[in-house]
Formats: sequence, structure tokens, C-alpha cells
Amino acid sequence: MKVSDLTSDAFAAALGSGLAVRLGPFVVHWRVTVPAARGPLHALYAHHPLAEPDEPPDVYVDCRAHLNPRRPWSRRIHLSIDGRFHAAQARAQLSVPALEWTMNWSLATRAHEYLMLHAAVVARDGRAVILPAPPGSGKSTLCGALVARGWRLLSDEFTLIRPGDGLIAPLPRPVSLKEGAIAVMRRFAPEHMFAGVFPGTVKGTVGYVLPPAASVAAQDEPARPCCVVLPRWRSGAAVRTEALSRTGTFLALNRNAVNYSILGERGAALLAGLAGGCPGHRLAYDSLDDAVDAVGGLAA
Amino acid sequence: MSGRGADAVAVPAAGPEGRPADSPPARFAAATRESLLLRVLRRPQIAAELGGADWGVLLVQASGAALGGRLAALLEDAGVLDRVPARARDRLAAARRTADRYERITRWEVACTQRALRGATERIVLLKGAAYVIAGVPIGRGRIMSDVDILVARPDLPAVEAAVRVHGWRPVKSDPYDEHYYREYMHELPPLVHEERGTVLDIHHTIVPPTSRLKIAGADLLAAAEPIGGTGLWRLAPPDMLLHTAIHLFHDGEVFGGLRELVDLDGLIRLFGARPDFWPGVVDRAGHRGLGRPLFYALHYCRHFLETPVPDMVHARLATYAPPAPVRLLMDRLVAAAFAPVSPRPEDNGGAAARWLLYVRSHWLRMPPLLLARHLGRKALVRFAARTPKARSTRSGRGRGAPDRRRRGA
Repeated sequence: MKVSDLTSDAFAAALGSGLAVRLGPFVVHWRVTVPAARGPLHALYAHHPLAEPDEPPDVYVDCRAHLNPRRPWSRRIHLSIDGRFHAAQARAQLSVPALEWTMNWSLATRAHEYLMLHAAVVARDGRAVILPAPPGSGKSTLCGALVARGWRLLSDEFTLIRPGDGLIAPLPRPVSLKEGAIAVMRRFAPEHMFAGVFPGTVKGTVGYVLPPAASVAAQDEPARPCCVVLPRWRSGAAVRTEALSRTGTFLALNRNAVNYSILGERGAALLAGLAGGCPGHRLAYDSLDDAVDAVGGLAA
Repeated sequence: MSGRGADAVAVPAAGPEGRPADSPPARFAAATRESLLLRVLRRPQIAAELGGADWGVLLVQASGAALGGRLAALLEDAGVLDRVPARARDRLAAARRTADRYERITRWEVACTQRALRGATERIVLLKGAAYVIAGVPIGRGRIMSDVDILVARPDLPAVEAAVRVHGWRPVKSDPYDEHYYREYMHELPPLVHEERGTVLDIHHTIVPPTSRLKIAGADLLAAAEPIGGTGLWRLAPPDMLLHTAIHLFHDGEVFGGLRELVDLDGLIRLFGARPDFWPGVVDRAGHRGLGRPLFYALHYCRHFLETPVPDMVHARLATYAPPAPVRLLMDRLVAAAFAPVSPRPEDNGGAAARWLLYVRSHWLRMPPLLLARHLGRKALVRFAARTPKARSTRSGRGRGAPDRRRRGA
């Protein structure tokens, strides 16, 4: 059963009492009583399957209006992880970005059964391209563009490497775009669905693109990493790729590894294996169309 | 809350609005009310029979008590790990990896400390987590630890402090009052943080504040310490290890991480309890040093929550140290509230008042009333000053999540 199989009323009721959804390899248990969050969540996670009743949740995320007895006039949204306060959000309209960030934080701090990279990852024909990059480099924009051109979305935020076989476990979730990237994406792929645009967050305007149904349906099928591409958007630049040395690739992956130090030697070995098996490239671009073609060429 | 003897795995509950009792929300609500964690800590084997919803709750309770890695190690030892649902096993493995990292850091920090202190003092006695790891005490496996705690001879303190400063450790606090507080009233130097690695080193000269009503000479602890084979390092004698943790939990303000410390006590007793000189040593020392009360609490709550094997004879002798009935009733309530498991439902997680009372109690025990009034007055003033807008802007660099990790210190 999928989230979209629930009517919006049924979804709201289930959210209020607790609803467990499968996001890639994880089960996230939501309890959300903020009305403003229901619609966008229902839309953004429409394709995701509900968890079986007997699957233990990996994380409990709770989002509700909190009444502070000392300041009864100010209703804030409280987000909790595993029953404990995590963050507050002043405006109910921004509950969904706050929920997304809370889920990101909770996964980043607990999913140590994987080597986690802060990187987008997409795949075509079973070959995955890892896009590790710091915020602001256009990583999510390029990821969104590739997905709009038919690539399979594995993840926009975390690349999960399985320690056993080095394959990537997909975690398809809404692709988050900020500020100007939203307009860029609307021009590039008008059919692409923004299922929620939220102006006024601490990161400016944030928009979420619905993950394609096919990507979510394939969320249990791992993919083999084939190359690493470091995107960098530059206004007016002609598209240009530059091969990285193996060391350069290792360092780029290392800089974006979330839990490298927790995995210790195992993490180092996994990262070295990844850098050894996947050629790395820098990609400077201005036009998304050129960049999409370039990535296609590198992954071929 | 502890539900002793009620080890049935299925938790029957009346469903609200006529919902069947075992519907997921009802089961969820029921399972969160009592401590699955305590039941599994007592009998790891029952983990093999838990259902998925139980696992979700158990893992929240374990990580909420900073016992996720410890639980993983315990289930591994009990041989039930392969009968755990795959997803729960992943969570346990992840918790174990986090704990393994603490262990690696601890080993490294201990080696660095040992190198830094070469020539500065004769005996470096490792305390708590560092001792468990280096001495290979089983409770060190999967245990989360933060600081390295060591005990050295008081006369060596100046040389020790100078040596670690040369090697890059700096005081965490620069406030002259905190500095003064530690040097005058505490059993340890102001905590030191390494300027490159960010790790914290606590250097003790005894295990209770000199201002508290308990008096323990650091020299006695050092003299009784035992070498850790092949390392050149030392650990406390087993009875002192037990008493140290008991004091920490039931005399200091460490009730925040209470259950974790109780698990330490339980592990120490299970490991050393069979030694012929262990219990006589514990009872003697407790008598001589006025530690009867914290020891009574430690053993009482170990037996109550974890069914720790404490010989009846020891328990009977300790009964003389039991507090008067009303105090004991109050403590039972407070400790049960402080140890109450974290629930995945935020509305269930109260207990702040009990923890606050226990924290106040720890300060009451730590120093004479006049000194306490001065100390808390000063702290309140500082906190008030920090609320003014001017102070706030200078503090903003610390970030939202900056942990107040010296809660117990000042």
C-alpha cells in the first residue's frame, strides 16, 4: 500500500496517530498533527510505500504545535526525534522543510550501517553517478535535471554505500531546490512537479520536486557506482570536464563523507575502493542541457 | 515502571475507541509505557521473541539511555543477534559502530595522555570508561564514553597539569569563577580540552569533592590500585571501582545518564562479585569512608532494576545504611522517574522535575549550605546576565546544539 492510496482525510488521520513509511532502506514513523504539513507531505511522498505493521521504525519523527505556558500567545512547531525535542519552527507553513531537515539530521546521525556521503546520486541502466558537492555548487539542480531527463533518482542528499558489497542503497526522497534553482528547474522541465514551495525558510525559498514514481518503485534495487562527478555551476561558462586523479577522487569523496570517522578503517577501505573503481571528474557548466549530456557521456 | 517479574513479551492493552488491542497504535502506546529495555537488560534472550513494534520502542529506549551499543554487545554475547529482525540488527550495528569509535578515541587519548605524563607522575590510574576499555572489562564493549578520566597523586598535580598543557590540553573554561570553583572545591582540575583533537581530559586527585561530607583520601585509592597488565597503567581496586560509580550516580549529579551508570555497576558486580575479597572490601571501605548510603542505593537499585546478584549477607549488612522510610520512598520515586525509559512519544517524556530534584540533591550533598547558596547564586547571576541582548549576541557563535557538557561540574 502506498501513501497515495490513502485519501487526504485518511492520511491526515493516520499521520495524527502515527504512520510508518518506507524511505529507501529505512522506516520513518511520522506523527504530524500540524494541518499545514499534511497536504505537502501527502503529495511529496505519494509514491512511497507504507511500512508493514511489524517493521520496526528506524526513527520516530514527531511534529506538533507546542503551547508554551509562559508564552501562550506564541504557538511554535516542535519537532522531535525519538520522542526528544530536536528543533522549533515559528511558522506552521514551514513545517515540511523543518521535517525534511529533521529527517536528514536523524539519518545522518544514525545510519552508520552504511558509509554515508553527502552527495546526490542518480543512475541509468544500473550505473550510478555520484555527485558529491558542497551546498551551493548546483548539485541538487543537476540532480533534478538528470532525473527530469529520465535518470533514476537514488538520492538527492545522501549516498548510502553498503559495506558488504559497495553497492548504493537508494533513498529516493523529494529533491530540494533553493532560491533561483527553482525558476531554473521550472524553465528546464516545466512538466516537473514541485509539490511544495516554501518561501522564508532560514535557507531562503525552498522547493521540493516530487521523486518520480519509477524511482520510488525501484527503491529496493541497489545500483553499482560507476563514476564520480563534481559539478560546479558557473555563469556563462562553456561546459567542460576534467578528469581527477584517484587521490583527487578519494579526497573529494572524503570531504563529503558524513560518517567516515565513525566507520574508521572500514570507512577508509570503502572510500578507497570507491575511488579506485569509479573515475572522478570535475564538471563546470552553465547550461543544464549541456551538463546533462556531459554526465551521460561520462557514465557511458 | 520496572514491571519486575512481568516478563511477558506481548503487552495487552485495551484499545481506545474499540480498536482491537493489538492494532499498531494501541500496541505502540502500550509498549512505550514500561521499560522494555530493563526487561531485555535482565534477560537478553527475550529479545529473540520481540515483534517489530517492540523493537522500535526498545531501540528508542536504548539510544535514549545511551545504551544502544551496550545493548548490541549484550545481545551478541547472549547469541541472539541473528534472531533479531534485520532492520533492528542494522540499528544495533550502527549503534555499535558509534561506540567502537568512542573506544578507538579512548585508546588513542589514553596513549597520548600516558606519553604526555611520562616523568610527571608515577601512577596514572584510569577511571571509568577508560579503565574498562584498557583493562578489557566487558562493560567497556559498546559503551559510549566521552571524557578520559584519570586519577593521580595530589602532590603531583602541578607537574601533571604543566605536562599536559605542554602537550596541547587547555582549560575548557576561562571564567575565573569556574577556575576558582574547581581548584577550591572540587576533586578534579578544571576540565582540559585538547586544542587540536577537541577531546576532554579530567584529572582527579580523589573521587569526591573535598567539600562534601564524604572524605576519601586519594592516596588510599592510589595505594590500592592494581596494574593493568602490559600497559604501565593502573585501575582502581575492584571495590573502589564499584564505590566510585556508586558515588557518581547517587551522590554526584549524574542522574541524567543514570541507567547507563547502573548498568556499569551491574557489570562490575557480575564481573568481580565472585572474587573472595570483593564483597568484604566493598563493605569495609564503605564503612570506613562513610559511603554506606550511596552503596546502599547502588545495590538496592541494581537489584531492583537489573536483578544484579548481590549476596543476601551483603544486603543485610547494608540495611543499616538504609535511609529512613520516608526518604527511601521519595528516592524510589525520584530514581524510578529519572530512570524512566525515553518514549518515542514526546508527550510521555516528563521526568524533568525528578531529575532536577536529584540534581539539587547532589549539590546539597556536595557542599555545605552556605557555600552552596553562594555557588548557586553566582550561577543564577551568570545565567541572568547571559539573557541580556548584549550577551546573547556574543554567545551566538556557540550554535544551537552546543552541549552543556559540564552540567555536573558547575
